[in-house]
Amino acid sequence: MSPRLGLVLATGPEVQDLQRVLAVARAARRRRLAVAVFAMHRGVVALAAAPAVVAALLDAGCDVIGCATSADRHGVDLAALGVVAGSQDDHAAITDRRHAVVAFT
Amino acid sequence: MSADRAPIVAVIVGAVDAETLDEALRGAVGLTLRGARVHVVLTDPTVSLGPSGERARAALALFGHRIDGRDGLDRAIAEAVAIEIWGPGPGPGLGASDARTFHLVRPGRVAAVAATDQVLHLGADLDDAGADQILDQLLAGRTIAVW
Repeated sequence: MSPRLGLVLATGPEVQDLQRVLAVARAARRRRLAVAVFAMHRGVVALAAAPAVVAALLDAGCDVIGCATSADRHGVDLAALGVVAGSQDDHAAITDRRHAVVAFT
Repeated sequence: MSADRAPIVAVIVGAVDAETLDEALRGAVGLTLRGARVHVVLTDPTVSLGPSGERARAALALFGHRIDGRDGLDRAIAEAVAIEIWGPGPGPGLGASDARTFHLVRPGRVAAVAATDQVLHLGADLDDAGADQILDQLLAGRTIAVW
């Protein structure tokens, strides 16, 4: 197992998956695993609705990437959140076979 | 990497709104960009794809990715190295869980397979113990299905 965890988030704030993403990410960081979070669809809305959680992910040393297409569609300013604007290529990258993946979609 | 040897990512799509359906299929196409094989399972027998969804489905089919109805669920889960489940699943009773998959079930959701001890029902909050349990399963090499 490669020491990296990929977390996919595609649900909006009403599903409360972002808090679960943070919990799993923190658990991984406690074990010194690298963590990347990719948000798309309403996942970017969840990021915008909880900037403190995004900050906690970044403070924990996680890479946080948002789908730029989804952000444009939902009017989310990823840069203001400190989130990297990415693409579906990032989605493919964090679900690579070398990574463990948990998808909240 | 040849297509036959590429890892499989299962994209299971339940009864969702049209935008979410389009996004699930756009994401499925995206997952192929680094060589993964995608196995899409559309569990809603009444599903109707719009133009964007049809384009994505055509692109996936053109490159040899599997697209099944709900009868493809067991195979998709059993073979996948990663699983995305979009929207509510098709309900219980479709099949038996395999030993390499660990199931997380969100409040109000139901696992579509008969998971036994390899299941964690999530509450509104996920505490450290629950998160550590998920990590333990990942590090044991299990694939995680989040219903």
